[in-house]
Amino acid sequence: MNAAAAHSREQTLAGGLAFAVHVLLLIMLVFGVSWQHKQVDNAVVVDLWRDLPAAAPPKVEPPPVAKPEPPPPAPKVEVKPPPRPEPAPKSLPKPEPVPKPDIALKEKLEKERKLKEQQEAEAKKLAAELEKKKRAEADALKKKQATETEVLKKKQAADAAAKSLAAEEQKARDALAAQQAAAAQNEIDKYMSGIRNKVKPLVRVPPGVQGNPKAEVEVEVTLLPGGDVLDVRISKSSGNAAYDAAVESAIRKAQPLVVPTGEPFQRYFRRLTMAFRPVQ
Amino acid sequence: MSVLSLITGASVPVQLVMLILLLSSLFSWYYIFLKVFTLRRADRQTAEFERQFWSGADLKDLFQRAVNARDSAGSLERIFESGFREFTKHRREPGVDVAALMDSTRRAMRATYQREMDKLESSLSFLASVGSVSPYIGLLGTVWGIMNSFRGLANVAQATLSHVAPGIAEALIATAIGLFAAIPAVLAYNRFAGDVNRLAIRFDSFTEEFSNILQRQVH
Repeated sequence: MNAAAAHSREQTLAGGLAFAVHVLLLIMLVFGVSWQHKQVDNAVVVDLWRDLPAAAPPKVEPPPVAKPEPPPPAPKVEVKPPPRPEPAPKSLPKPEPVPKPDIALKEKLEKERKLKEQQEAEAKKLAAELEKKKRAEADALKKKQATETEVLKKKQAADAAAKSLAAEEQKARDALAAQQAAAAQNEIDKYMSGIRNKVKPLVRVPPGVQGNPKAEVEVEVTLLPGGDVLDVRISKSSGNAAYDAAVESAIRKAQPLVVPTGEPFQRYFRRLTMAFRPVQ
Repeated sequence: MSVLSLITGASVPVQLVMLILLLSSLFSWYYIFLKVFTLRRADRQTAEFERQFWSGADLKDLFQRAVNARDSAGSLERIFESGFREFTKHRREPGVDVAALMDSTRRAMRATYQREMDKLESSLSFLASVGSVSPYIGLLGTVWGIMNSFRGLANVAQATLSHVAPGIAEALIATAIGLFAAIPAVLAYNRFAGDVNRLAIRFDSFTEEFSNILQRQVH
């Protein structure tokens, strides 16, 4: 066995093994770490408020106003001429043609009489029936009419109810909108007071203006979304330059200010005008 | 966020540190395996030669065999060979002093012993360096990465963990690589140093015993 050859073989073997160890470690690391990291959870920035602004529209539902029964609509019974009962079909059996005089008069007479009587009776019966039928029909018709008017009445009542309900809803909607606006205003106020409360303690009131209610400084603050102060401008000086400067630096120190996001920020907080007074 | 993205996302100095650490880790593992093979072979050869020597073989035969198989001879065999060569050379000289003869024999064996030890101990110092220094190199990368990630944080008004965490994770991987390079290197160094030490003791005792045997032959 050649020693040099053996040595070189050992060298290659050692190199290969070293490489294999590293590949193994890399695989272990890649898989081990990615297994533990299935999902990346996003960080959430949370502002803590002690009491929630009543901003969230407290009542989304329109106030459940007790629906007053719609005033009973004037029973505008359309006086529909009660449909006259159809003239009873003149289906009266025509009186039998007068029988011819016969020789057997008596018999005939007798017969005739009988027949007549019979006929009369029949006719009477028929008439009575007819009468009855007519009356029944009229009754039914009347009844029908009555129900119709009833239905009509009901419909009208429902219509009126719907109308009043719609009005009610409209009113509720208006109230809600007003409420929401109020809530939005309320929220804005909350934020404003939050900002004010954050800035106020940072204002180092110079001794000259301490407690002077007239020294009001009005500042116009330009904010970035997220509450960073871009610019502070004194729009109305308090008359004391030191106090103005103190307010301005306090606002800068207080950043990031707590501001809402999105549309309310753009509308109300992009340019913020605030007044500060050196009194509590 | 895998390890690979951490490595590729790191800043250039940190990546440089990682590269250095990776190379040193590769080399240290290479030497570890090489040393394992070398030391195992040396151990085997030493045991083999001791067995032959103490089994009462003729010294001249052993010498001849050692000279013939010089390439594959073990360290102990080489020590024996150099000592015996010196001894026979000086012995032929007329009127040689026994003490001087033994001294030169021992010196010759000593020289070979040193050479062999040097061969065995080679690259152990590299392992020691890797073991002691690579954690520091990794730490340097980590500190650099964390410095960077905090400096980036200075521009953000509201610092959250998500701003810092990736940078720190990137930075920490440098320390991880450093430790990975260092731990096996230290372990292997300690192990190999012990092995080499035990071999050295065996060589030493053999040298003494062999000297005694030669000295007896003079008389």
